[in-house]
Amino acid sequence: MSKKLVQIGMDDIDSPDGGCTTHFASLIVEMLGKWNVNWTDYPNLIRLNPGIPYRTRGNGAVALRFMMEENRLDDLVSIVEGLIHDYVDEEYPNTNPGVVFLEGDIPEQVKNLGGLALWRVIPIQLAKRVIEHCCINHYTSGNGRGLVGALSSVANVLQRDHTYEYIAYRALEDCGDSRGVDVESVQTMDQTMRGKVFSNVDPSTNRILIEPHGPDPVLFGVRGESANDVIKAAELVRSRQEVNRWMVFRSNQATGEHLNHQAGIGNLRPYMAAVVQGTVESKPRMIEGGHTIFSISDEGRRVDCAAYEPSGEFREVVMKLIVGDLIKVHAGVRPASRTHGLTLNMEGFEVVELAKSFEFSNPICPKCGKRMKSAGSGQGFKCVRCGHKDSEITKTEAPLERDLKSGLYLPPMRAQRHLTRPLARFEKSNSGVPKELVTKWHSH
Amino acid sequence: MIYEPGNSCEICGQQEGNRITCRMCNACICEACYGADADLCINCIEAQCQICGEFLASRACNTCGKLVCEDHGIKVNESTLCDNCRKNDE
Repeated sequence: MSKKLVQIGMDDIDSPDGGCTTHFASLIVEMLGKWNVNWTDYPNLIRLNPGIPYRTRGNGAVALRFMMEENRLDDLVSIVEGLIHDYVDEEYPNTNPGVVFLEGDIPEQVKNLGGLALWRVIPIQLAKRVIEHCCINHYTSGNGRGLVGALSSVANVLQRDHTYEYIAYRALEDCGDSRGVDVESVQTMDQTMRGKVFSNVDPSTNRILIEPHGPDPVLFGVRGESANDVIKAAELVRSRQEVNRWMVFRSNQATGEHLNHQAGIGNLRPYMAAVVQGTVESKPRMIEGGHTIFSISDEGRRVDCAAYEPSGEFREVVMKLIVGDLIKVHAGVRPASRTHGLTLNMEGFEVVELAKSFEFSNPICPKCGKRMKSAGSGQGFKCVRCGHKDSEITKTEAPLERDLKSGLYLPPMRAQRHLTRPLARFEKSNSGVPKELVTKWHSH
Repeated sequence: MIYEPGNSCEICGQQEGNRITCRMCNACICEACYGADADLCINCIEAQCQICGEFLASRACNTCGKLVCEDHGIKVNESTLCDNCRKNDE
């Protein structure tokens, strides 16, 4: 029997009270293990625009790619549908699962939609139009929102930079209790595997970042540069709750893939993720709640920028900006409300050019070298030591050293988006689909 | 990559036909991506606050799933609660 490339994309299978699209994907992988499929890639965990309002948590969708016997696709579709029915929380009205089943190559329209979904908001109607036009086999319920992520995950084959994540899951019956991930074991793992894994521990608070806090089945997730690295690192992590299953994903996390577009202020749209270059127009100020606000302008247009309280010490760096600094703000666009216009929710910023800042001080007496004092309004300066007076002399102007340099500034790790490229990855880039997978990349 | 909307529809990329500017988000769109009844683009129709309809939503309510704007949803720890669910809770 000849085999054919099948690609499944899935999204929105979780709810705020539990479930997780990646966990569901691990159940499908387990099932397909019995079907004698040949995996062409690790499951792909594709993070999409982090600024859209529909997401449950991290706006992640999953794509599975494998070779399978041609005549079994209809069976696969109906089995996956059944599994979704059993898995989703149908009580929560905003869970709108979507799954697409693609045979062979990815149509151009799907690729375009996938590219846009990284930094724009995609309407459900558009996803449905693409599905109809390309005759894509699919399943959805609710309003169909999950189809957007399902198509977008299939579209992104991670040809360019990518990372890996080992996700350990707990049993569903354990989801009400605390995970008990051992802090010391995570710190040891982080030190042992330094350079190969990243974003495990927030250095400023020593808080571990691999353990989520919601009621979902994820026990912990270790991110790194290769499948072997994350598997090795995960073996060093201990937890009170048992690992019920695990799987390795290849992902666009930590690649900065959502910030590949630079937009002028006039071209910003709600929920867009973009880099916006502008000159600081108003001095940053701290407002109630500990948020820092300032504005930038380009070509006569102006927009507010906000660094929120959870970004911690990043706000202190933002406060060092002065009027006239030329910066590039990495941001998600927050829609206007009754109290504010469009606002850039800062995910980082690059200093392009610092404005010059000067300190003005009274002149030095040319006779005795002592600093002079004002002789009164419009009367110049006088020296209190030698009595010298000069009505022509003016204040001296000395350039102030700025406590900020050109370069990129990011919030602390605990406040970064899944897609944010952390400083630890700035010199690193992986490329290409792996030619072969490690022998054991999932537990079941 | 510098983003310039250009002449194509900002939602679907379609290059033919007339262009309409969405009154909510200013996007330049084609007729297929415009909802005449709401006089909005299909993005804004989907993302409107489901309580007031006046502004775009910032989050979905974690209890009822409604999309709500900043005026009609509050953040409680990591969750969003819409005005309706908050009143029911009280």
